[in-house]
Amino acid sequence: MTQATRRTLLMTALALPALSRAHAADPVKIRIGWSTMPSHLVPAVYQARQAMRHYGRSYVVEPINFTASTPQITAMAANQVDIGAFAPTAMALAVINARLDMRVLADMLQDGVGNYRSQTLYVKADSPIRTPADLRGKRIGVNGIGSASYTAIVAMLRKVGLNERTDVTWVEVSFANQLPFIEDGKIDGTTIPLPMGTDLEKAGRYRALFTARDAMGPTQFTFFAARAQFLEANRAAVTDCIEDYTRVVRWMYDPANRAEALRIIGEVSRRPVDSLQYMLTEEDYYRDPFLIPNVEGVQSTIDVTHSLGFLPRRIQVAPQYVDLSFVMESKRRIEAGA
Amino acid sequence: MASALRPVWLYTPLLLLALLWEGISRAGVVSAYALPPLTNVLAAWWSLLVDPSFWPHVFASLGRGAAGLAIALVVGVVLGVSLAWSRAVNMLLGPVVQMFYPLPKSALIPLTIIWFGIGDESKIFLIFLGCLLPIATATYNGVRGVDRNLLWSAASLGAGRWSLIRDVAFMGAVPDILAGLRTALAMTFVLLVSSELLISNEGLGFLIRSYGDGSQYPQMFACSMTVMAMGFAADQAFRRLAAWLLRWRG
Amino acid sequence: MSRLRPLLSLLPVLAVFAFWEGFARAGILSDFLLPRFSVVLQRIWEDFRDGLLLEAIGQTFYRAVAGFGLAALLGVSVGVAMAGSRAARWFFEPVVSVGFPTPKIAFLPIFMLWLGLGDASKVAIAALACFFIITTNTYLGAVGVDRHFLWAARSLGASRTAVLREVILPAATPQVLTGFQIALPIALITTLVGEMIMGGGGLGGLLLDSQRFADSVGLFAGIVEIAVLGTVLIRGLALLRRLLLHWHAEARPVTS
Repeated sequence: MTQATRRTLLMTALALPALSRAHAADPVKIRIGWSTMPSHLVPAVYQARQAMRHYGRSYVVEPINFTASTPQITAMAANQVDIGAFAPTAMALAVINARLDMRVLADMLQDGVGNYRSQTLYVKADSPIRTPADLRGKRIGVNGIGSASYTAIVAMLRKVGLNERTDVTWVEVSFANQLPFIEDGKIDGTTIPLPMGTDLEKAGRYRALFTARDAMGPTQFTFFAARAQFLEANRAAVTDCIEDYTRVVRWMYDPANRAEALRIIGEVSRRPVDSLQYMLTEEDYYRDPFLIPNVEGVQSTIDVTHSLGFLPRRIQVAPQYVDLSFVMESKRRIEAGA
Repeated sequence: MASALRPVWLYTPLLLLALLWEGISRAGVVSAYALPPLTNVLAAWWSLLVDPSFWPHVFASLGRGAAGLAIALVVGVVLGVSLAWSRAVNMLLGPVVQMFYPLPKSALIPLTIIWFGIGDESKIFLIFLGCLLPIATATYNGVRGVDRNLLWSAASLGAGRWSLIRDVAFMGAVPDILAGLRTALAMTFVLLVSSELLISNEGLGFLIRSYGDGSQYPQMFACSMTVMAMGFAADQAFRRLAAWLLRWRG
Repeated sequence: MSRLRPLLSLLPVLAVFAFWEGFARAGILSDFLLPRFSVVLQRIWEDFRDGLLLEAIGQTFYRAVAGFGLAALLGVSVGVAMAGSRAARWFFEPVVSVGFPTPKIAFLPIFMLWLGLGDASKVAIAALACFFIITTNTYLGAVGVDRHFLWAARSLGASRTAVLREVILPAATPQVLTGFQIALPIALITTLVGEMIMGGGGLGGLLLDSQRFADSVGLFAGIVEIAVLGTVLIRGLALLRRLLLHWHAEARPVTS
């Protein structure tokens, strides 16, 4: 059991007697799904609670780790998770296939904002592939057909006049295996995850061919989403939760706390701190200081995925499936207080 | 052979495989990312073993494995004996049980989420399901293989129905049940990893996934080595126990 | 009666499907969490009509059976060798003991790199998963052969190969077949998991797509398809066991 879950259990246990007395201030338990270590930050945030104001009073959190976005759809439909870390496609599928009344709640990671990180397709430094058009007839490794990186690569292929069905070969390789595969010459280009990608690029062994920003402009990579029903029923608790979360993210980005923040992230993600030096800098994906998501970025990814035939129908995200009132209220409180 | 050298001699085959691993990796036959040199894995393993935060993951996995295996043992033996003993049970339950055998555990996860949620119960259920087959099959075949003459003579001596099942059919099937349990024991270690791969907050499968995502391949293999070592130890202990239990066979 | 038996054994399965349909219609769970069986059946029919299903079943069947066959061949050989030869036992006993409980999934990338993403890597991983089970069971069966038989056969001047063929193998057959019965579903599961992790078609590939796109009807259709394929395989092997042991019993009319 991780320290976080143990603490959550402890908090829940402490809350139980209160519950039986039907106390007015019972903390709401919020189960937050997340998938990618360490960029999703979720478990690290709940190890840095000194910057929080409401934790344990109006709410407590149980972070739950999933392999990807889509298993969270099932968990959310079965009422096993309250807030999830969704990619735009997964949120559209939750609305269309699972008929969940979803809301974009808050930002987690944005791709290609300013000079910040954007998903990159790498080729070996000595590869004959110089431009995206050279990908004709090549083998591209992606973590999944229809995934966010696949969508961005297809957008680029179409931009340079290539057909993703006939002009390239797709090889499905999980993130963990992408490096062995390209090293071994089994694929010609792939999206090596952070920090390996940038490290190998700096070492001169790999070359960035293009980024998702080149293909699609800035997009919303991952964001928090929840069912409207849950948000309505727990408006006060969720607002406090978002406010606390925002405070911790801001605390982590404060240069004074950087060393401590990286130590915590290293501890929960079990990575050496040396390998995390890219985190919370421009080499990392962008995180909005007030967790305000890029709603157009959500829409543009959904539109491309839909045009590729991976969604049964298109959904219009704003205004029906967005609720920014939580991040706005949290922003107001933080600006008023600090 | 000197008795001090005996263990060395016994485990020489493993040493040869270890050397092969190191050689393949060092020679670059396979990318060091896919198969890091054994020495790097051992170094990573050591640093995990001395890290106190590693052990809660080990115990979390082991606890779920033990629970799943224990339930599978009880249910598997009862199921195997009933399937072999009663034609009605065989016809009613057999086909339904059979349907669930060949399903990969990850395909069942949506179902387990509905039935058990996403906590420990769903993982224990998946381990249980995987271990049930070897135990039930071995019990069933064992009971069916019990010498008819034994049953007839016991019955003619006035043994009741329960006594026949317990003292003759079950005891006669014990060697087979133990063989099935050994298979199930080994599978437990495979299953406790795979049951954690999709949804989990702790455990060795969780660690394998997070190290893999972080390209920390030596650590990832070190976690697999931990599972392997525990499985090996459990298998050795079980063989001693089985030999002791079966000592009456001579 | 005996001709009706296969039909009767379908009844419990039909009861499960009927219960599923009824439960889904009761509306306790959403259509996404538990789609109706009739809807799932319709999807299976559509996939069948498009030829998608038969192609996927063919791929998975071939990979699982090839992996199983390879493991059966190697596992029985190694198991018998371990029972008969001190050197083989010395080498394989610790290897099997370590290899059996190892999560083979850790070695998947190596298979993928060496054998590619097609059939070969999936057949190999299925074979690896079955090999240890079959080896262990064969070995247990072969060492369990009553020593009196062996002594009798040897004292009657039977050669090494004759003892193997006439005494050890027949006596070990029930245990070997138990090993097969445990290994075959594992071959199928490993093949499916391989397909779900590596892609490359088959029923596992269909399941992967359904999971990825939150297509719960497709997911349940896949579960039903696998259950049917698995039942056919398991039943086939059980039939084979009866045939083989039937012959076995006839060949040795007096057992005690």
